[in-house]
Amino acid sequence: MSRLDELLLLWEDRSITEQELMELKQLLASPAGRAQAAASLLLTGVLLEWARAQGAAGSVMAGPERAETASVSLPSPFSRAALPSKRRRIAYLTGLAAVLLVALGGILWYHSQLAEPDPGWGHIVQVQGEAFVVSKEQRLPAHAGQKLVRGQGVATQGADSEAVIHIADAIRINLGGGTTLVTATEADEANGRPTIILEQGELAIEVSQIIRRKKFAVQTPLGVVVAEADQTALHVSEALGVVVVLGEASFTHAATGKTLRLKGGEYVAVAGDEVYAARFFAGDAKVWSTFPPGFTDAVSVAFSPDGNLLAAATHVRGGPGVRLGPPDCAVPLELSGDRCVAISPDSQLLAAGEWGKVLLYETATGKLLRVLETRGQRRVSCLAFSPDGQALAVGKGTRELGGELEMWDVKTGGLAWTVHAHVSGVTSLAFTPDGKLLASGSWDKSVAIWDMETRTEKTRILMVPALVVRSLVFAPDGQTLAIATGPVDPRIRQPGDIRLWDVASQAIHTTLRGHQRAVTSLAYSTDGQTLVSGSADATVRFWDLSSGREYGMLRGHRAAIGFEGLAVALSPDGVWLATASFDRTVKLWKVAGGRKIRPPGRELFSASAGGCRPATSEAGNSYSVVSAELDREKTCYLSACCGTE
Amino acid sequence: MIGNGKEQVHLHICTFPAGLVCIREVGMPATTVTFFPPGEQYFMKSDLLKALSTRFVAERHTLMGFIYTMVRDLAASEDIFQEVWIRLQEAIERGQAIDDPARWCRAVAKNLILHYWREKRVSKIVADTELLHLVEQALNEQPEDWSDQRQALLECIDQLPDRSRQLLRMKYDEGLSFATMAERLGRSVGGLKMALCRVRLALQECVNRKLRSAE
Repeated sequence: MSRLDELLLLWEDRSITEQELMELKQLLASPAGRAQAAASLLLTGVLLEWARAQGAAGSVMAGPERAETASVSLPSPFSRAALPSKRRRIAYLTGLAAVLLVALGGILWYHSQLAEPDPGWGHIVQVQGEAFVVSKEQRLPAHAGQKLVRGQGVATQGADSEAVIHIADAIRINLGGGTTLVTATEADEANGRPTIILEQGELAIEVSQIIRRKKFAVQTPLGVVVAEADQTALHVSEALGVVVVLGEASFTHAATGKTLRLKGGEYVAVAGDEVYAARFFAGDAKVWSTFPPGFTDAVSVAFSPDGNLLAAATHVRGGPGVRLGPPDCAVPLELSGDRCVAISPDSQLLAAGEWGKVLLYETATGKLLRVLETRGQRRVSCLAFSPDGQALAVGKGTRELGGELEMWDVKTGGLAWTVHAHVSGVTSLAFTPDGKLLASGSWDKSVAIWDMETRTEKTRILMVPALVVRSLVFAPDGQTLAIATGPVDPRIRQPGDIRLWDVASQAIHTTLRGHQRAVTSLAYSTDGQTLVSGSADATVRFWDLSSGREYGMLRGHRAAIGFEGLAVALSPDGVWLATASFDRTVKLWKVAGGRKIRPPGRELFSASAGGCRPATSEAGNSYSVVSAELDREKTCYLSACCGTE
Repeated sequence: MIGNGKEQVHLHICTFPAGLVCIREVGMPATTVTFFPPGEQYFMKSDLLKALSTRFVAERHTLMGFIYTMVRDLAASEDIFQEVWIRLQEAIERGQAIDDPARWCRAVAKNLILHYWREKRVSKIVADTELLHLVEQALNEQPEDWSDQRQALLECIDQLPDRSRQLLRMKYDEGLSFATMAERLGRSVGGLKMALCRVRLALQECVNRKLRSAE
C-alpha cells in the first residue's frame, strides 16, 4: 500500500490532519506521485460505478453468493468410506458441527444484510411537468426510473407538476405541485426508521406494508407523523397539516413534543399548546355553478333568508359574474354584476355590485329593478341589507384607495348617508340582528362599529397583530362579532385567524387559529354554537364555539398559487353549506342537523337524492357534511323550479 | 438542446443506474430513454454527439473519481458530474471549440468543486485549492485511454473475496464514513482504513499483473 493512496483515503474520509495534507501535497509534487494519484482516481471512479451496480443488484446476488460460500465450506468426510467407524463418527460429528456453524453464520449474515439500509431510498416512477432531483444546492431534471440515494430529494415546480416515488414497492409517495421533499440524514434516522422531510408543498403517501418493521416517518414543519400500520394513507401539506386518510398513524408535535394517535379520517388540530385529533371530511360535492376564466380577486356567496335561493358572485371581465338559483337545482341564472352579492331579509331582492354601481334584482324573476349609482369612481366591494330590509349598506374602495361607506334607502333608491369610514377600502360589512349596529372591516386592518341611529362611529377595533379584515359576521344573538383576518397579500404563505369580539365588553375574547392562509369568509350556524370558516388555504373549517376548538375540516376545492379566497354560506335551516372558490366553482354540501360531527368510523359523505327535491333536515345530533346531487338535466328558473317531482 | 433545426435533441446522461449508462434523448414528439451496458457503442443522432458522448462515457471514471475524491460526498459528486455533462452539451450548442473534451470537463468540474467548497465553507468542510490543482494536473499529465486498466480492474474486483467487496460497497455505494462503517461492523476505524487500503492495493497489483501479462 502506497503512502499516497493511504493519504488520499484519509482525505476522502475527511480525517486527514494538517501534517498529512502537507505530506500528500509534497508527494503530488513529483511526477511519479501524480501518476500514482491518477491511477488511484481511476480506481475510485471504477469502484464507484461497480459499487452502485452491486447495490442495485444486491438482493439478486445475495442468494448465489451464500450458496457458493456454503459449498466451499462444506466438509468432505462423507466420502471417506475407508476410515474406521470411530474416526468416521468423529468426522461425521465434526462435519455436522461445521454445517451447523456455516448455517448459523449464514443466518447471522442474512440478518446483518437485512439490518443494512437499502442502497437507494427510492425510485422515481412517474414525472409530470417540471420535477427535479435536488441535492444540497443542486437541481437536476428528474426522470422516471431514476434511483434516489441518501441526500437526494425531489422537487416539483409549478402547480401542474407531479412526481411519484416508490420505496421498495411498499410505499408510494405522490408529490403535488410546488413540493420539495428531502431525506433525513443518517443521524436523524438513528431510531432506524426511514424518514422523509417535507419542506414545502403537499404529499399523498400510501404505505401498503411496513418494511422490516421499520415504520415510515414524514417530518413536517408541524411535527413528525409515523405510519403505524399496513395500508395507511396520509396526506401531508402546508394547508391541511397532517391528515390520516386511512389506517393508523402517530404524530409528534414539533413545538410541544406531544404525541397523538390518529385513525383514518382524522387530522391534527392545534389550539395553542393543545394538540388533538379532529375529523377530516373527504370526498367532493356536486358543482352548483361555475364561472368562466377571468380575473378573480373577490368571491362571494349568500343564501336567501328563506333558504330557497342561493346567489354567488365573482369578478369576471366581460361577462355576467353573478349566479342566482335554488340551491338544489342546476343551471342557475346568470346575471350581470361582480364581486359581491346580498339578498334582502324578505328574500325578494338581490343586490350585486358592478364596479361603481349596485344592481338590484327581483329574485323571483331575475329582472333588474334598479341601479344605484354610487358616488365617485370607487369600486363596490361589499354589500349588506339591514335586518329590516329598509337599508342597503355599500362598502367601497380598494387596498390603495380610501374606504367609503354608503347607506341607501332600498324603497326610494336614494342615498341616505355616507361616511369616509376607512383609510383603505372596505372589505366586509355586517349588521347586528337587531339592526342597531353595523360593523365595517377594511384593508386598513381595523373594524369600525357604527351606530345606525346616530350614524356615528361607536368603536374602532384595531387588529393586533396587524392583519387585514377579510370578513365579518355577527352571532345570531348579536353578542359576538366574528372577524376573519389575513395578510395584506393573500397569496403569501402566512396564516390568518378568526377573532371573536365581545360586543358588551368591547374586547376580543377568543382567537381561533388553524387556517394556514388568510381566512376569507365566515358563517354562523343558526344556534350560534358553530362557526364555519373558508380560507385561501382552500379548506373549510368547523369551530365549536363552546370549547373554542376546531373540530372538523372540509376540503372540496382546489388550492393553487394565486388562490385567494373561499366563501362560505350556511342555509338558514342548516341543511346546506355553499362554498364558492377561486377555482371558479360554487359547490353545495348537505349538512346534517346538530352541531357535532359524527363519531369516527361512520360514513360522512354520500350522495343525496338528486333533482329539485325540497331540502329536509336530517334527524340526529351529529353534524356532518354530505355531497349534494343536482339534477343536471333540469334547468331551474327560480320560482318555477321544484314544483313537481 | 442540440440539433440542426429540424432534429432537436436534448440529452440527459444518467450516472450509473444499475451499472448501466443511460442517455435520455428528449425531443419531439417523444422522449426516449436508452440504457447502454458499459463498454458498448453509443449511437446518437448526430456524429458530433456520438463522438462526444462516447468520449465522455469512456472517460467518466477518471472524471467521477476526480470529483468524488475532491468533494467526498456521493450525491454532490453525481450532481457535479451531471452538471459537467450539461455544460458540455451547452458548449457544443454554442459552437464552442473544444480541443480536449476530457481536459475541458475536468476544468469545468474543478470550478464546480470550488463553487461547492465556497458554498459549504460555512459548514467548515476542509477545502484545499492547491490539492485540487495538483490532482487535476495529475490527470492532465496521464494518457486519456484508460480502457485496459478499467477492464482489468473490473476483472480484479470480481476476484475479490465477499468481505472485501462488502467493504467496497459500504464505502462507494452507501458513501459511509469510516466511523459509521466501524460502528456497523463492530471494528476499529484504524483497522477498517487499513483493510480498505489493502483492498485497493490488491486491486492495483492485480491490474498491474494483468497488464504486464497482456504485454
